[in-house]
Amino acid sequence: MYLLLFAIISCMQNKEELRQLVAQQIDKLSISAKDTQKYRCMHTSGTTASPLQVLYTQRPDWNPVFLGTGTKTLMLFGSKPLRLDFIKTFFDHKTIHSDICFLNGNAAALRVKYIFKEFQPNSLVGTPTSIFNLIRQLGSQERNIIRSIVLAGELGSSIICRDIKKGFPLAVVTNMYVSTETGILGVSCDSCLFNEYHPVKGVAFSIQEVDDSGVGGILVTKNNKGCLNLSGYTIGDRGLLKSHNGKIVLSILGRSGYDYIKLGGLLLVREELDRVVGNLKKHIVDYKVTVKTVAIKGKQQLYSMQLYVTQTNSSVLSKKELETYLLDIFPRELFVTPNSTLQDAIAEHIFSPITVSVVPKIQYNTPKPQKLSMDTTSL
Amino acid sequence: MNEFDTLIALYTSKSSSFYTDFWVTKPMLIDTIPVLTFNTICKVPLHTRLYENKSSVHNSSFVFFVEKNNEMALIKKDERALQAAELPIPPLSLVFVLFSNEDYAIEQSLWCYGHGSIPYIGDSKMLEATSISADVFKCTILLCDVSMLMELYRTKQIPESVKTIIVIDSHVIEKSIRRKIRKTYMLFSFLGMPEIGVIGSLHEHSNGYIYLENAKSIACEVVEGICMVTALALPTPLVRYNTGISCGGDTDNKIILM
Repeated sequence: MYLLLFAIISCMQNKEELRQLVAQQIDKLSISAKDTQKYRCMHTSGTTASPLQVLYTQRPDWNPVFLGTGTKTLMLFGSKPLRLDFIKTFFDHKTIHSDICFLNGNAAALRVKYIFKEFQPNSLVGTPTSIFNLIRQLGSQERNIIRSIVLAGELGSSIICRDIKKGFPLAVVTNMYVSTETGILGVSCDSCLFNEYHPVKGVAFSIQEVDDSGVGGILVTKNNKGCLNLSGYTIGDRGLLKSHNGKIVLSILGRSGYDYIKLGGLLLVREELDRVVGNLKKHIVDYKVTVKTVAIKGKQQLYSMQLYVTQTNSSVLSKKELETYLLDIFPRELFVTPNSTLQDAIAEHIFSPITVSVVPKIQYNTPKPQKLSMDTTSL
Repeated sequence: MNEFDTLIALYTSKSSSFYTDFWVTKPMLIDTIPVLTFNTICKVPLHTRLYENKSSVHNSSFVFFVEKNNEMALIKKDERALQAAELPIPPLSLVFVLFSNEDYAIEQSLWCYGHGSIPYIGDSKMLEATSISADVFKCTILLCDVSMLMELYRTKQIPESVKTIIVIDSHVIEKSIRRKIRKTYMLFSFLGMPEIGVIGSLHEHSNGYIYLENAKSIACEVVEGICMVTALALPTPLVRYNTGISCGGDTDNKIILM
């Protein structure tokens, strides 16, 4: 029934259309003294550098359950509008009480340990990457005081989500699908996989340009109280709809053009890259992969891949040795189809041999750190 | 209760022994009370220096992190403390909030909400995009610190919609820049720092020096050329707190910033 309903939706919106609608909304803006508490002026940087302004004229749809269940909440969002929205929601909901402290997700270990010792949080709310980074900075005694974790703001990989549950064994973990311009879209349940979400009330998902495996671009329709109603909004993520315990869930595979890149018959998925790099964590702290199209021969395109890594302090390999090691093992381990590896794609001249650079720090070109990206300026 | 009675109440409070331990003896005169430094605050855990009525139901509070000279402390502010400042922002204003200290930006944004205005909180790391957004939202007031104002001014990115600029910082804008900005904008300056909030408003005397008019809830004094502040409306009240701000006095008993 859901799929039939989704097929009827023909109107689609993208970010540019939303931008124009918001501008019209701002032009018509009239505020009264009673309303100011409910207004939210926010921006989202998104995965590109072009910001989108968002205006809420009613209190956003933060169900108190989604704020975590702690009395001392440590927030690890980088987005300042999201931080403000979050703390304002706590202040507005007089029935819930929490002391709230913010921590930059990239904060030094010294600061993290200090805040845990002084503030003693029992609830964490933040991006999967930020919360994952806490695990290696804290001892088990410190982590065991956490009883509630809310993940939002990015799609965490299965490895990261698994490690968060292991790292904070006494915490109930809730995974939310939320973006600044749409608000809350979905929430995971206990039996959901790391990337599966039940749509919240008033939200419907559909998939456009579905491929053979059912994967396509995600469209969002939402009756957005106090904000623009969304009708087939292209949120920029790719995924598919699945049945889960008799209900429809959305399974998200990643950002279009970033976490999930289709190259002809091959598929580069960030999840898979995380798996391969995860097996090399003795040597690698962080990584970035860029793919370029380098030639077109007839109907076949030739690609190249650049792998950038930062090395762990404890790695026994020299920089040169690590580069040589990765040149050998990385293509052999990375699957680009269910049955073939990058090494196979290189042997078939679909990919040129990869390049590997061990760098002191990974440079990201977009506001959000993207581990996998397609360089579209190459040709 | 007058201020001195409040100090006695701090000394005898059962909520916390912070001032009992720090002062050692019961205060007899304000001048004899030891000066409080950031270093002293850092040495005492947050939960032991809170003068709150723990049995009463309270709303949520904001705990933020302050780091100075490699020392760290957590400072807690409840709604009362967050709304205490007196800023010249009319209700129903759209305010562009931009501070290099991210927690301070959140605090000022909450102030805006508490006083019937709507904040748009900017991102200091994405100045161009944030400035464009402030213009799209038609923010008429810029609320910022000195470094953010200088950055916006230097790169000509003050949004066109802004007509009034309010600066809160522990130091003043350079005189020549101040005069240039005043030609185009209404400019208000306030002395403030994250652990206290707004201390008072800054004014330019006809003789050219900058003097402080402290806020109603704040008491200031000059001790050996440094401004000391007493701010009692905080979960950890600050008594004779050493701000580190160099200042002097003039013949009208005003505090002058050096």
